[in-house]
Amino acid sequence: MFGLTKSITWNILRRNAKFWSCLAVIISVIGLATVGPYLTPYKPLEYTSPKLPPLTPGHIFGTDNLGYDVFSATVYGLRVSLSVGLIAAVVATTIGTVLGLIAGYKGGIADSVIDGFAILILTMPSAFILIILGTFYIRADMGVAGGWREIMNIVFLGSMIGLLMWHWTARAVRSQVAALKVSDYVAVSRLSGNSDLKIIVKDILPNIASYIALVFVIQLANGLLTAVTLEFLGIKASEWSLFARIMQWLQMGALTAHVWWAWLIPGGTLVAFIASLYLVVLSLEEVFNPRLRRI
Amino acid sequence: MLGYNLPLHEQFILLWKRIFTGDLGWSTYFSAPVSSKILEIVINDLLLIAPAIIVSWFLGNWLGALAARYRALDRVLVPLMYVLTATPYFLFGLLLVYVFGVVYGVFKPVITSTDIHGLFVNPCWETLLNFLRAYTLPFLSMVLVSMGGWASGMRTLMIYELESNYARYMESLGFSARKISSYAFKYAINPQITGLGIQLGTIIVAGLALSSIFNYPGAGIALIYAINYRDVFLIQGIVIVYTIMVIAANFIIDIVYVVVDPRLKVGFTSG
Repeated sequence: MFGLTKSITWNILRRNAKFWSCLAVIISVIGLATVGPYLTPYKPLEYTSPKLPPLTPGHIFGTDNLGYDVFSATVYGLRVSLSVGLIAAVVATTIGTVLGLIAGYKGGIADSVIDGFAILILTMPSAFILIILGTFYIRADMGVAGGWREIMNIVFLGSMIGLLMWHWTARAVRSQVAALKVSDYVAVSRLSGNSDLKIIVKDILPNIASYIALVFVIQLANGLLTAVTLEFLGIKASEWSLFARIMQWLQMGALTAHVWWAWLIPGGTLVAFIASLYLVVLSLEEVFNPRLRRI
Repeated sequence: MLGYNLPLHEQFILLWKRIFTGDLGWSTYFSAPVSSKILEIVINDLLLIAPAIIVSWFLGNWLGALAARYRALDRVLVPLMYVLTATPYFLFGLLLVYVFGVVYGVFKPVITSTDIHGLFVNPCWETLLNFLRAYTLPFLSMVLVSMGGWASGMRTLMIYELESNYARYMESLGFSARKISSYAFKYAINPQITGLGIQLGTIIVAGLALSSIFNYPGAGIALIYAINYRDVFLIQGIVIVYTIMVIAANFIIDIVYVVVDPRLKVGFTSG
């Protein structure tokens, strides 16, 4: 799909200003989370001076009413949230793709069983499960940053979110595979004696790879939204989960302290990142799917 | 009383017997029977969530269809829709609380149960005004965020329909754009109806997050307290009742689907 239409793809994308600006936002936010902690001398829980407005020298994003530097809170917090979202998306995409391939290609009982599980997850309010699991299984006794316990918590929370949202990927992959399975070239491949595994890997998977990539990005955005909401509800993977801190800070009645930048800047960064993910997928869909292309 | 001395399978049967007789145990946090407490919570949540879901669904679908029809509008609406749907509910709630509740004190930043029950106990102009002042912000934050999701979905579905063969055929026959859209809308709305049932789980999360922002006496606050104080019966009760509610809503939507989609109706009556 990529190879054949590469020049057309490129020509459409090159003119799309929305796509490039969103990509720039995504890359810069990821970059901020990766290199940000090396740019700031302050730890996220280090006392400086309170209530400095944004663009103060030394504190680009200002400081909150408790005297914590907002920039370091943002970059350290983004790191945790992004890791959780990314792990969730990877887990969901892996499980969803495998199960979707099995359900779509094998059909029959395998399809019914997998679809049953997908419906089960769909009807259970997954938030309740995540809240209960998070409260009872995430240990609060976290010491230093980057410690073993912190990494364990991030992986645990990410995997849990992923395990509760693989059904979106599975259903999407299943419908694509079921449509491809009956196509002529797959029949030819089967007649020439290829095994099921070889047909799936060599004939079907390359055709839906770009589609899976798009679903992955959507899952990343959704996983990130879930992770952030959980943080806000107090299920945090790390001591400096950004929105968990904002919640505590709100409970101390700090909304009336008028330090709007302390929650609006990190929140805005996150919203810009997630919205850009959605919009990039939208632009790519317009490229791959001529019916959505409006000229 | 709890039956912990019984063998496991009998305990399990007892659990189900109690659930079916409406006995969900005793909440240690509220010092009250769980079922009566949950009834209170559910009514509060339905009061906030049900109107918000319905309003945002209609508004979102209308906006999405509009964006699909008019290109100039599309340019403005698409980023707006996606930014709204990318915003976590609590963040949007926070923004509204800060702007309208704290900076300009137009609305109340918290909503208490007296604001809600006052209207029902003593319906007069004053309690209504009080109710609206407290209710508007949680309602608005819920409606606007979930509206973004509906609108973006509807826009894609509508574009698909407007580019399909029957729409092109109608166009070549000389039907007005308005007429074509009204036909396309009928097709495009079907997946959105299914989506309504699927999204209910997500919307409950929104209720959880918003109830902790606005101190709304819904399931969110109750669940957080229940977990922190290890009130097992309340946790169990909330999970059971809300899961049943989602399943029931899905069932109702399936029935509505048959009514709305004539193809299914034909399948049922002739089959």
